[in-house]
Amino acid sequence: MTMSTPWTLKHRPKDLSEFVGNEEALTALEKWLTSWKTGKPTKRIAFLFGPPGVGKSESVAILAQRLGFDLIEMNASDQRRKDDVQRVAGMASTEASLYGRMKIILLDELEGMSGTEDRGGLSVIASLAGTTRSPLVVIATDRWDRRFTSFRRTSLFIEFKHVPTRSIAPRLREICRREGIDADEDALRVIAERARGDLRSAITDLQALAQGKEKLTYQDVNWLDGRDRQEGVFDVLKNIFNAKTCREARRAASVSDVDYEMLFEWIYENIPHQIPDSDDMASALDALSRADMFFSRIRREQNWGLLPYAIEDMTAGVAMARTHARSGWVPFKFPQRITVMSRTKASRDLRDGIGRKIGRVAHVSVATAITNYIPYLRIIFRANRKWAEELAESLSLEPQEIDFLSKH
Amino acid sequence: MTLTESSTGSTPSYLWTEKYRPKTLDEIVDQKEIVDRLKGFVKALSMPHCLFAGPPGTGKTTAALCLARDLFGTAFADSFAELNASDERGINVVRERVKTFARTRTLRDVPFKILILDEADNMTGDAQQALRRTMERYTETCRFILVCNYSSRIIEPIQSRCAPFRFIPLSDEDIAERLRYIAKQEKVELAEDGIKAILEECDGDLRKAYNTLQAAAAFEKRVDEKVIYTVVGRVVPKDVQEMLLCAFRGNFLEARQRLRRMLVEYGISASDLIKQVHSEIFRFNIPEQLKAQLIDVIGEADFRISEGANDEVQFSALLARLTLISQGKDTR
Repeated sequence: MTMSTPWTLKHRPKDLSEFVGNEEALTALEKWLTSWKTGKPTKRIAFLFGPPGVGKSESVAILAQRLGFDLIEMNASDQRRKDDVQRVAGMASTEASLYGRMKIILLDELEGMSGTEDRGGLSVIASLAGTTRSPLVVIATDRWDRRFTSFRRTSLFIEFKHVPTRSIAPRLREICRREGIDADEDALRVIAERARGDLRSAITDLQALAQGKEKLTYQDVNWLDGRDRQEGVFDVLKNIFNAKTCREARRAASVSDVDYEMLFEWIYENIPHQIPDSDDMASALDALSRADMFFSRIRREQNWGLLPYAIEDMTAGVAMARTHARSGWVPFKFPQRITVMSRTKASRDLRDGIGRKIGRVAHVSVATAITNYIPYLRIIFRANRKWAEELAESLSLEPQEIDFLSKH
Repeated sequence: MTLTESSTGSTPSYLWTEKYRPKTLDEIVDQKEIVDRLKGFVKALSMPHCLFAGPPGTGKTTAALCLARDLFGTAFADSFAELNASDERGINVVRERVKTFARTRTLRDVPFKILILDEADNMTGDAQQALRRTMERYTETCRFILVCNYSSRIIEPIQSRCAPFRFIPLSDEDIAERLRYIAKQEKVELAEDGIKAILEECDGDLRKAYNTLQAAAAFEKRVDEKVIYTVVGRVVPKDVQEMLLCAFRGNFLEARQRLRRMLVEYGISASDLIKQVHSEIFRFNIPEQLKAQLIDVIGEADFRISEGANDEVQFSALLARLTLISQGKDTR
């Protein structure tokens, strides 16, 4: 594989365990394909539909491999409609492939097939439902497109949904691992969120941003965190901070696909701007602090039953803290904490590395080394060159670590 | 958790805390009762699991290291291991480490090995439960020395399996004597008011005293009160004070920015910071009734920090509360 190989191909799932999201659809498709092994199912066409980049075609490829089918693929790039239809029809009438294996005929991007404005071609394909000897899978984004009317009664419809952000990010992390890229959590989250459930576009973005790099920081993807994505968050924030009732505030969070941790950061950043009255601000932050304790308990004890309280503290609790009318519109701010975290990552890593070295020599934890040794070392390193050199040697410090201690 | 090699490395250490760390039990001049009991273990070539509890810089880790060295002599490196619970809280590391460590036996007279688990009070309750099982399982071949600040944070079943040792803060005279000794060795002129200033700042913590002296000596060959306060002023960032002032004046955004700098950039742990905030309150020139109120909310914040996950949010909630109280508006 070369640099130009799309990562969507290079890192396509090798087996079911690597397939992300849409478990139900996958199960339904597997069941249907398996039924072909023992006879002909009542519905001989599977109509997969759903938004782009969520794994519709990929699921067919994976299951074909797993269940031992040959896959014969046709898509919109085949420009000749009539030929297409004939080829499909012809193939559908022959039983097995060359080596006696069963085959799956896949018609991808049904909307894109040339000539589909003429419903004739598509209805011929739909009519194969009664006769085809091989599983016929068609794929489209919109099942309700009027051109597909003829499939409605004869096909098994399987719906694919958006891949949740929380599933996209780990996949991106895995790809980074394989590519040897050290990626910030925040950077991956931005990419994952921006993709809005489209895993393929997330992977494409990742390749564009990260290929050839050793590190991917939040700074690298900052600009991606652009308008379209932020407006989603802005709407949610607006609804939370303006909510008149607890129900409204809670709903604002539940209908969004912004993940809760990120939403928490956004709310935290914006409380002092949106609820500036000191009384109200203190109550709002108190609610957020309680939400944080709930989240922490949930994580520690895996007690997901507490999640509603965490979310309601964070939304309704914050919204109801306001007792003073607001004065005019105040723009929402991006969570600075995240920016600061990513901006300072390199120096924090350096600091922790020094802490580890001190810890080994001085029998203390990294945290203790950072608070109980590094401040003194900084004084020494700035004041006394000879001692600095000796200390650097006895602690085996690298040049950039010496720099860190010598500079402000 | 960090696996620490024995401290018998070949490069001389230039950290005074290490250079002047006692190597044998005989070299320890304070904590006399504890040292006597530990010497008894060496004589008997046998010891129970131990729990060393006490404030920072009172010689807990040193005592454990010396005990191991006296017991094992030249076999020290093979027979002793050190883990720090704060560096990673997972119990699996301890278990794995103990497993491989305790499996091989030494050919020496001592039929067991020693594992020092430092900062053990930072382990979660679950991890401690698992640790208890591990301690039991390998009790024949491995003795544990758990080192902690607060024995109350160690679960009862572990406490009851350990011989407790309570380390007390060193007396001012003991610390002063050590400081004079070091100054002489290092050819530093240490003025009496310098010693006094160190004693005042380090609160019985010998490690802090050594580090303060070393940093001061890096500046000046003559260390007096003035030099010490310069060092102290640089070590304790002014941000704590300034953050609190901002909060008191109702400038929350500025206070939050300083908070963020300390937590994220300086890497000050939230538990250290809350302690600093706590002690700072007493120095502020505000009505005493107000201080009493502040102490209560700081205590609540300390509790929430240990309960919660997001230190900054917990601190921010505290800052907002401080503003209210200082404005006499807290109605809670």
